[in-house]
Amino acid sequence: MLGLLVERSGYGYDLQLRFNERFRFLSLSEKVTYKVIDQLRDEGWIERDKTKEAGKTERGAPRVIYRATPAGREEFSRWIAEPCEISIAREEVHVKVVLSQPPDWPRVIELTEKLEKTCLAAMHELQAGGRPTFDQLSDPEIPWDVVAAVLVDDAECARLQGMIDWLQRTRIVVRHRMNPPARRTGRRA
Amino acid sequence: MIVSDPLLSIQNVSKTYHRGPHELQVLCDVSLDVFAGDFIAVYGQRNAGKTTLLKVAAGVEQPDSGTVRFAGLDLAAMSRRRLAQLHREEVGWVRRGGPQSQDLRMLDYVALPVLGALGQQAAQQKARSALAKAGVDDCGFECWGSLSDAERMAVALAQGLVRDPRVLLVDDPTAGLDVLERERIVALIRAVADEGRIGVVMVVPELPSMLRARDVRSLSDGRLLAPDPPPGGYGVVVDFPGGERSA
Repeated sequence: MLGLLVERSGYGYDLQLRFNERFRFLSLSEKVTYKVIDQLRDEGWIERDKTKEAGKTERGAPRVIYRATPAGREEFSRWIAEPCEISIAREEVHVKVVLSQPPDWPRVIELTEKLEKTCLAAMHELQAGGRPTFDQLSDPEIPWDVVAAVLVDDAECARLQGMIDWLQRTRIVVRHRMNPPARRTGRRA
Repeated sequence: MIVSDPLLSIQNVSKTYHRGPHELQVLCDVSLDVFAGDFIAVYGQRNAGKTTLLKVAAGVEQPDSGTVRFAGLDLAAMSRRRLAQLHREEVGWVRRGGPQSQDLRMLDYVALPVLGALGQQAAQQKARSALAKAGVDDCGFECWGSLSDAERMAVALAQGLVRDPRVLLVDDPTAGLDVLERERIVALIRAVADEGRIGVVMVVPELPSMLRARDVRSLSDGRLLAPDPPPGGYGVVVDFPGGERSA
């Protein structure tokens, strides 16, 4: 959120929309948006931008426009350079698989199929029309937010592929545990 | 709204290979309709049954059960002659096999499927157009051995297109290609589908190749799955300390 205000000033609803547009697979509610704005203001990283007029809200109250303070810009630069944590995925489905017993395995198969369909749907959502190709990303004419969106989609695609591969492997193993296959000698498909 | 019949309709198809005493079920109750203008990408890991799906779709292999119809006609009921005509004229099969003769020029190789029907001159003319459409018109006088992987795939695509097919079946077009080549090849295939006349089914072993497809499926353990978005969204939550959860 601070990064969005470093980019340009904005009011609450505008920030919520920009956040949800830029991070397509994350979603921010109005309540959380204003809570974060309050926190950033309390830290002294953002302030009211009185130089800008943004009209009124639907309820007739004047819109409050915020901008990053010099301390906020400094904090943002520090945060960009800060080492990132790589989270090791431990999804709910992993826990269910670990705890499942043979009588649960048909339901595990069903669950992994459902999740795979969800992953495919998420994959389908990534297929935005007019998305630039990797070839075009070095073109300085393409705005950075568009380039960044492609890079984030690429990361999401890799994550989905990992998830789908794992779901498929899990399902195959569970099916084979339920009905052990005859020993295979090779297969053409 | 007028809904036309599918060009290709695969219904409840199952296929098992027998290896001695062993049975390998490769397709299990698979259904898929392909309409003109469709671009369906099927993702599957190695040995998932992707190529078998294409072979069954083309009528090259018979399913054990279920039906495959092309423009409403059951492939199982077609004579060998009609099936051969179908493969010659209406179904383009794109795979990076290459010619048997390493000395064959790509112009002649691409012209092969239409040589009998059109004669050499007209067939070569069609081949030139197909090579140009696939972006490799400069490869006409090259031999297979001198082409890069990406050029080989584009030539294979040209050979699939030269017969003006109604359905294009594309087998793993991006294997061995880097990200830029992969995008270029898939964009070419997408452009073919965008013309709205041909239905395209492409099988791939990696998800990024599917990004340009209009529809996606996955194939695993013989089963073909279709996307199904969860009613409440994808459940990705932004949670801040002291904040509330939103989905």
